Amino acid sequence: MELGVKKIQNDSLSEEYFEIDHKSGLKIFVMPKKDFSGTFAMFGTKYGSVDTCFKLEGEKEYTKVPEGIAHFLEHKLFESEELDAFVRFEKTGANANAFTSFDRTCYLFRCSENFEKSLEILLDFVTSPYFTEETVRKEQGIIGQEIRMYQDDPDWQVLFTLLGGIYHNNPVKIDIAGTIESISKITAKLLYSCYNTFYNLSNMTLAVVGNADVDTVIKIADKIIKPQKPVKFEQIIPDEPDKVVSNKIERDMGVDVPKFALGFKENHKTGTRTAKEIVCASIALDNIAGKVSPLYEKMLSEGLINTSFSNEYFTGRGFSIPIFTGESKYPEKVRDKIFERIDEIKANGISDEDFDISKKRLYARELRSFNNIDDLANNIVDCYMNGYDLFSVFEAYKEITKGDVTDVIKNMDKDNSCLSIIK
Amino acid sequence: MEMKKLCKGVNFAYHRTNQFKTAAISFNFIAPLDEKASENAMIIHLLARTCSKYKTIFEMNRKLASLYGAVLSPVVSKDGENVVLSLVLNVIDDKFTLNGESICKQAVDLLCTCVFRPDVTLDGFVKENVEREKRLLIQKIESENDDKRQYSLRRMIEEMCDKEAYSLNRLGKIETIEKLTGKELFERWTRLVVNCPVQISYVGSADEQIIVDTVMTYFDQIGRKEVWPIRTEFVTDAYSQKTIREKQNVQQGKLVIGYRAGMTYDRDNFAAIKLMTMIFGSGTFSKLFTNVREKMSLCYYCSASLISSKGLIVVQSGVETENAQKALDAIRKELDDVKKGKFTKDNLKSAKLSYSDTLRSVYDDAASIISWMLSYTTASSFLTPEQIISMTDAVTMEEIIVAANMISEDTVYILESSKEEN
Repeated sequence: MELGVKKIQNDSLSEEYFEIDHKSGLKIFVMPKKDFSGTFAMFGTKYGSVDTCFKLEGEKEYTKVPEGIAHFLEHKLFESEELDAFVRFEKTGANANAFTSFDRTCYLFRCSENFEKSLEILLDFVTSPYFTEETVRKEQGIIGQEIRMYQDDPDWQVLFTLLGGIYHNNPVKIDIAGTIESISKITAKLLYSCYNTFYNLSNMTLAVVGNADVDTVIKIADKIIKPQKPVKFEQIIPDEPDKVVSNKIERDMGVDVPKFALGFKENHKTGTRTAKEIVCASIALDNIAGKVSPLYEKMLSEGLINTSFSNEYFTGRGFSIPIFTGESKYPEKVRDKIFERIDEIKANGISDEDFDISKKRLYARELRSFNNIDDLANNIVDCYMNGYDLFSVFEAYKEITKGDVTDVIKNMDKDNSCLSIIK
Repeated sequence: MEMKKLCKGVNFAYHRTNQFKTAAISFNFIAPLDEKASENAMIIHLLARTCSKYKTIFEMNRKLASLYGAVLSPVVSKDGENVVLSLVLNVIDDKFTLNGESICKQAVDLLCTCVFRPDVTLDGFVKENVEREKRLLIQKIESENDDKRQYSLRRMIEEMCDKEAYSLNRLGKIETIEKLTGKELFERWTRLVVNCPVQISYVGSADEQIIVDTVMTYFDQIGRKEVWPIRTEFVTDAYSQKTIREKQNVQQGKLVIGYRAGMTYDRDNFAAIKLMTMIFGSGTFSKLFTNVREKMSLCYYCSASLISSKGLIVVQSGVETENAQKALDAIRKELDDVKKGKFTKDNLKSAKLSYSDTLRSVYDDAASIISWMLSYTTASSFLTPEQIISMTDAVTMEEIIVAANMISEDTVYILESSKEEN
């Protein structure tokens, strides 16, 4: 095996992949899967909507950027002085896309043929920025419509209303695409400043999963990616008070079926949750009101919830909230039932049976994420950015105890929760 | 992908593979889309929730959890003027059970128990279950109105196809659902089991005979009668040609345009019409993306799609209300250009490449395979992804122009924002 190539494997899953420290400074992961007809590649940077105030090491002043700029940059990177990336992908047949989340931006494609050419295009366009004031102005119209679309999306709005009710200053509460007003302040110069800070190879990673091999990926990386000196940057992370902003926020959108989200504020000292913490929280939520819990059936039969009711441990760099979400004409009653159930667990603990059933159920869900090459590539990037490997979550299921799960529930403070309602 | 006929109107399609960690089994009724839509939708939801063996949601969910977190979902989808009522069971593959037990057999048993052994009394389906499912289904219908993109598309179809069964909501009507009784639902369930075309599909590593044997023990006890036909009325030319405007309290307006594709059945000139639709409006190489979105910067999305099961083409866009007319004019101009042959060889090549790539990737996802295999029963003829690729490969520029000239614009639906300033 080549120098700088490390094999990571898991016997119980019969899966393996390779971690490569490329000479350019880029971390590359390749998971060959020969029985798949396609290949999925994802090139991402640890840069998202939460990164709002930063400076490069050695610079005097911090740059405070307009809300939505990471997402705006994602749109603009597809353009170049010559051919736009989309036009180049048309020649290969690959299906290319990109997304910006709270804490990362990723560029991706899926293809069944012409993998090498498509990977060249991906690596090239992401490392070749080209912004002008004119193209920036043009994009403001398109993104303006994207923002409007999300303003009409009650599921999106119920989440951001919750984030605004939980956090005073945490930038995760900012809408990823920004506002029509904030994006009007974006300039080509600001885009370059964000690009030069966050799109350094030392802050990025490439994951390839599917019908491809390590040598091919390294060969193309050698050809396209120019070595870079790592940069260091500093960020200002605003202080966040321990308490929520409000216990309840309602907004009127005129929907037929009201939506709600109930979240509990957590105050962790470290920025990113470990694989074990994530698994514990998922089992905890499943035990409180998951599909196998008595509370789920009770609320469904009493007409308090419908089958859209679900839970999620919403977490990323610098934020974590256990959330229950769904549709209900009586969201306050749902909240009260969940509170009661939490109190009950705090008093009596979880039964062995309940614990085992949740564990088995979620283990299967984890296993399911190994079915698709796109999920796998996404998870490899996600895990790397959070500081663990692809198999950590899967392995965490084996070592978790009932005590770990009850500890999570003990920390859920109903006085420090927020109920957001879209009516 | 392979298919076997099991008994009268019952097909079994399967794809054996070691590629996935989980297996998927689905049981599908293919019923006509008609005034029975409400009953149909209620039944598939009732069957998914409880059965005579697991009488409460809690018991059922515990059973699923004990089968290594199996997931059972009811799905109602439109396929032309038919409605596909599916119960889909996802379960981990036998390779991954902790003590080497076979989950596949147990899973098929559970699925069949749900379909053939519902929880019924002398009065039909249990009243409290019926009442619960009514409430859930009505909320589902209401909640779909809150998704404005989906709502606008449905409204356009309702208007455009108002004289055809295709205008009906696949989930039925709220007023009808409210009045349904357990007895009526039981009678309808009997009809589905006895007369409705059925397809069972499987993707996974197990021997397909396990599934066939289990399923047949249930069907053997049913006297299958005359099987309902599967059909769809194809209208080749636009006839209503109306413009509908509605106002709602939304930030962004929607523009939806419905076209008749000139098809007389689902495979009629399919390859040319599909590629033409792509050049016109699906994908980043399309005219709608490059001109209406990128050059005119009018919208975030503006795309065309072909519904071959009904011979329709639909353009959907989210635009500011004040720009709706401008967008409509621009979309019409782009289609005119395709009709006049104003597109390049490269456009056609891109469409072919992109579509063949999509088709090849069907094999990489169990849900896509399941959905593809349904066409064994629903389509006029079954074609593999490879067969469609070779059909599209042969399409010429001239054939695209001919296909484009077969299209006629029918109904324009505009959802306007009633907000004065947002």
